[in-house]
Amino acid sequence: MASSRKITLRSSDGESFEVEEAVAVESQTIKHMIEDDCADNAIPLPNVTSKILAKVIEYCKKHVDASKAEDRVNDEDLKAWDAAFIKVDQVDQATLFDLILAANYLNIKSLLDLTCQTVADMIKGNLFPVRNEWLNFTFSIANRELVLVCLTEWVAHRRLFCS
Amino acid sequence: MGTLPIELITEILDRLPVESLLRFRCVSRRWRSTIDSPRFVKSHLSRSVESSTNLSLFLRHSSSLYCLDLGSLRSVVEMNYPLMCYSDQIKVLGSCHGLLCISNAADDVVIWNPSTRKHKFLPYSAVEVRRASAFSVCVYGFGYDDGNDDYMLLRLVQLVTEPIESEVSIYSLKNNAWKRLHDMPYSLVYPRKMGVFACRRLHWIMTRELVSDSANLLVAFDFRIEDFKLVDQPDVIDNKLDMDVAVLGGCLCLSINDNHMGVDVWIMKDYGLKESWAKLFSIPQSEVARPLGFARPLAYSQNGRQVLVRQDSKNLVWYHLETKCIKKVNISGMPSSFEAEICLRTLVSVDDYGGITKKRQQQLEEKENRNKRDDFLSVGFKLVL
Repeated sequence: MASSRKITLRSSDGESFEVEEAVAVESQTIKHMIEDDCADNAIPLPNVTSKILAKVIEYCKKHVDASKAEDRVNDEDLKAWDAAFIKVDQVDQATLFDLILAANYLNIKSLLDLTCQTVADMIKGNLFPVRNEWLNFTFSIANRELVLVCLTEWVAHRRLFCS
Repeated sequence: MGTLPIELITEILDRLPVESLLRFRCVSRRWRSTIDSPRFVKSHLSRSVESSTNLSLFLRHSSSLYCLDLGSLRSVVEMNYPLMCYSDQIKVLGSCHGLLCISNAADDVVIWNPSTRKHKFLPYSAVEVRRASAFSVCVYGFGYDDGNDDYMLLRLVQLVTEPIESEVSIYSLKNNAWKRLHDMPYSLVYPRKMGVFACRRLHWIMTRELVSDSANLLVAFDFRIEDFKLVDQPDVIDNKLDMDVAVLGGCLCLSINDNHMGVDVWIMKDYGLKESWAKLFSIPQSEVARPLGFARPLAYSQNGRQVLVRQDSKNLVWYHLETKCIKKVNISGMPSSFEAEICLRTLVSVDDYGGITKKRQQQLEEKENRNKRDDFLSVGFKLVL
């Protein structure tokens, strides 16, 4: 079997990651870049930081290995790995949203599904952590879920106003 | 935390249950216009259909309507429907894409979305073919015409006379009007069974002549051609036995009562392909205490290994496809006898249907202007709105 080509990906903060082509093409965006012959040197990814790119590569590697394995990795085992990968206390909220943006930009459907479903489950399960500085103003809305979603949106908008 | 663009927020909202989405309409204007948009409603609907989530089971007992979540099957909630029941029973005419169609003893018909609680009364349409001495039968079928993006209610009225007279009318939600179609060439076999909407068509068991030994035909009404067509049945079955049509996981099913030996349920995996008929399961009479009347499959379980079956009018059971074991479903508050209907929970709207009306266009323009003013105020005076 021919050795697969190595592709270099460069994050927005200048770090380079060398990955096998099979792993890199999990991303449809990178796949199209390779097909269009733009991948001779490193592929720049200006929208993805090194921290997030490392996680994305970890995800893609696992999924490529899982489909290649001699004894095919059980679907359930892969799901369990995905769940551990995305577990909320490991991946903090900011990273989770950055992973969504990265999965969207890099066009990795399965990662986008996983991350969006996780956020949806967190909303359903009322799991968004509320930080202290957000509680500086009072809400008299009874529904805690709505408060939490409101706070999320408010913080997002506040950042727009403040910047 | 990065701000997510609206397309990605939509990806998340797409996976949320309808109750949450209705609450989140209050989060911000951006969220409200996203959740209300027809495109989002459609994508949320198709995701529910694909993943078999957001399913409710409606049980009707006399004039009471109960709802339970198919995922948990835990507790039964009695629903308030927008109809006067006149101390008589109501009828569930059908359900499609989260819209439930019900009628009462006075023949008022309403299309209702139990999740959003919006409803629409249908205009009255008199039955033209009526004769004093004849006994008449009236059944309905509710479905969706994807060619016109419209919800349709079909009404079949049949006078049990020699020769059989019938009247077929169809109601379109978009046009909010009834239309008479040409008579059906067959006769209904079961006077109270509503049409089953599967694979874009409404299905009934009919027959060519109303005599005791006539063969049962599986007839489909196709909205696109506005006509009835026969559907091939599996070769091996005896089509003179008692039959029932159902839909399971989007596929058409036939359940056949084998002369009190039990009930066989067949499923047509590929619609229209006679060879794709396969026997899904059988419930032998020996497994059931009382004489088995019929067994109508309702839905698959989350893992797809079990089928929820309505057995006669009194029992809900889980049939395990591999182990073939039957487990009765016991939920507190369940009525003693009932008719069952599967209904999705969706945001599909009954009014303001079929695109933007002129009034709505004006409303949207006014909103836009108001938004522009607010933005100006907040930027100019550094207010946080």
